[in-house]
Amino acid sequence: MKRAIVASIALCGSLGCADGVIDEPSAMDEVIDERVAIPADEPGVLSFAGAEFLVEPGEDKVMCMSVDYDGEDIAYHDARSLQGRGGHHVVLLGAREPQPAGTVEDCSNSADMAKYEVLMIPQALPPGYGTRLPGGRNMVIQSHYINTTDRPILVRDFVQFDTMPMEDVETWAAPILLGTLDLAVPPHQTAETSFDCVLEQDLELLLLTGHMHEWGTRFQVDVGPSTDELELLYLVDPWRAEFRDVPPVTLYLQDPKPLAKGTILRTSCAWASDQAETLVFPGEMCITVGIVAGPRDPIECRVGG
Amino acid sequence: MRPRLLGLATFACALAAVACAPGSDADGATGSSSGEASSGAEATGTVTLGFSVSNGVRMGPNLQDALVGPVYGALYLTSEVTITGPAEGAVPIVAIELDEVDLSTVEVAEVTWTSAPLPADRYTVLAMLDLDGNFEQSDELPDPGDPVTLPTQAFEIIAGEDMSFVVIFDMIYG
Repeated sequence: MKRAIVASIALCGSLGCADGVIDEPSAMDEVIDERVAIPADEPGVLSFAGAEFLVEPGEDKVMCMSVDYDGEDIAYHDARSLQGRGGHHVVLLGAREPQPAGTVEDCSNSADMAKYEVLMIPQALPPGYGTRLPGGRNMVIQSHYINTTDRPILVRDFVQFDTMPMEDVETWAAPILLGTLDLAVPPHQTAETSFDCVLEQDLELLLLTGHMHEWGTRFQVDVGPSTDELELLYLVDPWRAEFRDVPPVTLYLQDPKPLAKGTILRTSCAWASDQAETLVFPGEMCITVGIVAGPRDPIECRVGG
Repeated sequence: MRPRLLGLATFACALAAVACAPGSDADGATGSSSGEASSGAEATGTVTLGFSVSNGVRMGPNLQDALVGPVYGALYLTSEVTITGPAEGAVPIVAIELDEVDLSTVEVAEVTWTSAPLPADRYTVLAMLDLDGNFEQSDELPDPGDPVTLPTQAFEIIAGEDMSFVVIFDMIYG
């Protein structure tokens, strides 16, 4: 079993600090320390530390820190997010544009998400299920905080994986992402789009959710063996701005939903813009995200571009 | 009351769990107040909660029962709630329990819940609508088909005021 890895290099002091990271010790008196304690080294638990940074009163901030996983391929059956008060989310993402480990960037702009890919969905899997964390992967710990207090808060998050030997995995589970780059919402208008993805293998659906940004108004997924036989699978109506980070999720963990090779998944999105510029990807998005059982590697269907 | 958990799954984009700590009290029938609020010299206000469901829940493929049943939940300080639910160690401020909330034919239920005076602050509601009436039998957890809130249902209590807030069940559990 792998030993825990604590990415202590995350700590600002050893790196040189990016914007937003503590660099004025004299200001520390009024700071509320919300840093998550460094987890104890536990067999079978893999831990990654996020950036250490300050969040000012009233500030809504997302910071991303590059981390590497240099170990061998490993499987995990649970992924956890550990945050202090004011924490909104912390997740581990794959980096499309790898940066040196320890690089800290402000990624508060939702368009920054185009630089990352889904790697971890914080969800405990049923017994015997495992998700592969590939060795040598360049990743990013993304931490989101909203400080509703009247004092700065100092934060540092962790994500943890409960690992399992690869040979103990009876059923592989992997993220699935279905998205389109072909979207345009004209200024002060509404718009809709839909796109189809066809499954190239049999699999079982364990979790399903949608992803849009602040101007989304409706999100729908239909499924069926042909375009004439589609049935409603997932509906968020109305979509609200806060669903960008906290979307409704449908779980099939107790009763996985089988989807045969050739099944069509149709994602439909609607928006209403109050912006002066046309909204396009990645400022807005239309993405179906889920966990599927069967495949060992993530499934991605990207339309357009 | 024994500890209760309302599990609620989300991504992130996450999952939430409501943990009503041992000793947190729940009554809160229509128009009544429930729970203990730390009072003292603190400036306090109250909130009256209404209840609704999104169209996505009403039309969703996973809705199995009529939209009527008891509501169970709790108020937390928003600063102690993450997208995966209450932060570790977070304590519910007050429990919410209503015998019957009927959303089968109306957009907002007639039944409301009013808090006791609470310190002015920002609060988040985490709650479930127990459509199949098996809350006790399901370890006081939602089970598939129960509408639940996401940890986005937040409101402000202002000192000296009675605030109103409509809680929206945005997701079918399971």
